[in-house]
Amino acid sequence: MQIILQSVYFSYDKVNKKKFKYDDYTVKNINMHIQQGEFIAIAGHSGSGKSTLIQLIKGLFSPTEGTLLLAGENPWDRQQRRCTQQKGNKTQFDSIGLVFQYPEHQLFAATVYEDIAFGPTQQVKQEVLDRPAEQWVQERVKRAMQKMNLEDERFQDSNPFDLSGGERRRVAIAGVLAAEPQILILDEPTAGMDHFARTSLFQTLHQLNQQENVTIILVSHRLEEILAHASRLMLMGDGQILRDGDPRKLLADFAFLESIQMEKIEPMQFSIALAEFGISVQDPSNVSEVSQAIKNYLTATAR
Amino acid sequence: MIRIENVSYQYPFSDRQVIRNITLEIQKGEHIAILGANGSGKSTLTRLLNGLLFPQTGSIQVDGLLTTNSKTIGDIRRKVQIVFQNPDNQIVGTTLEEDIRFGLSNIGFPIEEIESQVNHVLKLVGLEGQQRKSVHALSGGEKQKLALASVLALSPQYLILDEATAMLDPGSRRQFLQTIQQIRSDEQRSIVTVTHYFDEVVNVDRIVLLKEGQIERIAEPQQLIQHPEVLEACGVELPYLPAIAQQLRTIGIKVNPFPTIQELVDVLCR
Repeated sequence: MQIILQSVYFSYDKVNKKKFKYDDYTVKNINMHIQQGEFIAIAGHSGSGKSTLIQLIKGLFSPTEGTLLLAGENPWDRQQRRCTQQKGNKTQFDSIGLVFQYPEHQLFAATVYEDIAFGPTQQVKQEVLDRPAEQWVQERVKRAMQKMNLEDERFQDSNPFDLSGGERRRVAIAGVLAAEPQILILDEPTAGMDHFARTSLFQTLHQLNQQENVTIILVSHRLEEILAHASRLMLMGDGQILRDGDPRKLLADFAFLESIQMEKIEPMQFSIALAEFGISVQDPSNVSEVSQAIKNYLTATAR
Repeated sequence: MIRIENVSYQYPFSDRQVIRNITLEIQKGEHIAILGANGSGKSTLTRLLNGLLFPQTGSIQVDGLLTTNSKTIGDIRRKVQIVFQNPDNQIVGTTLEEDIRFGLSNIGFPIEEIESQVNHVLKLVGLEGQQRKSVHALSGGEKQKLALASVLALSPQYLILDEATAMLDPGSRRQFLQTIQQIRSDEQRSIVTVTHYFDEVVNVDRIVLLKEGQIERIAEPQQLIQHPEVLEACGVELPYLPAIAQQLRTIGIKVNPFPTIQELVDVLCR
């Protein structure tokens, strides 16, 4: 499902549209095209409009100005909404999964299974099923649990509140995955996660992205993480998209990063330093690749 | 000094011990870090230190006071203060001043000294002159600094930072860590930093590595970094430059375990 935003503006407060004031808006003049199957990161300071933007994409708010198109259609269009009502109320927004910051705070059911099954159980009412509803839900929950490495027997019937913080996070993400969204948006999913959990989450995201062609939109403060995983980066500031492109190019533009008070990250700095010695690395965040390149250089110059 | 002796803890209705037979002393003025994977017992341990939880076996003494003694628990909770991960859960006031005053009034701080104490701690965390500002106008990083200020106002002997930087953007995170470095110069106060990120704790006196509720190792950062496999087994990743230095050392290139980019570049010029 393609995502298109055309001159989108949004304000949390009522604005006088006749007296247009740029500062009235939380996100401003957003234009973007996202194709199905991309792996995109959005970065920017707290308050730069990242969270608002992803909530607009998920349809939690409608744009104050401008147009949002999902798969070529405007889900907020009045006629469009009438059509969806006739089709059991399933909208394009239902194909988008949004993992909020600290999603584990929203767990509510008595068992892990019930919590993950909540989404699919609601979906049963909208979908045309090819098998008994109960079985359909069960399969979805099982697949979601596998994706988040929760297939261990002990999880299914345990109370989410008996799990550790990292495990609860995985349960919460599995709950979103159970709806099998075409587009998955994650807001700071690795905050508070340890190294194992982060590595395994990114493995899952790449799997979804490559094998099932799921679009991944990752909001993150950690630019190292973005450099290592995303193939496209949008840098936001003051409610606007300031830059949109290849993370390896954008994160190497130190002058620009400094002008918006974002940090230079070590892998990028180091790979630029290495380039002066004629050492080029494909993935600057890959420690073994970088170390290997240095070793090769040293052996070559020692001769 | 906090003395933890043979402490074990199991949450009610759970069949698993999250803290298993831990013995540890935290000295006056020491900066100690607790590292470990999710579920290794880090947060539980911090909550045992100030008597939010009580050990089922073993004992914890803060400056000689047992946390299980209901007569002195008030003193202990005043001595040991925690800054949590999410400042929104910790801020109670509507203005910066009100938030800091709240804690001070609760402990019966002399009214005539409150104002100067508020100004003092706001200055410590770099928010001076903003006492009338609404807390809602603060960024995430500023909120966390306010949470720290409110806690510092109570002059805790032991300051615990439980993943206090997890929600901050890189700029705020750096500022917050700088603030911690500054208040560290107070020799009387001990700091306990709980985190997943090794780069936040390279300057501490000792690192305690937790694994499945037990102490896996206690060492200085300089020693621990020589053993990336131990760190990794505890869910802690080496920071980028030390990880490269580590790989280079395996092929016999001598380089500082915590190198700067320049030091690594110098290797190429040898």
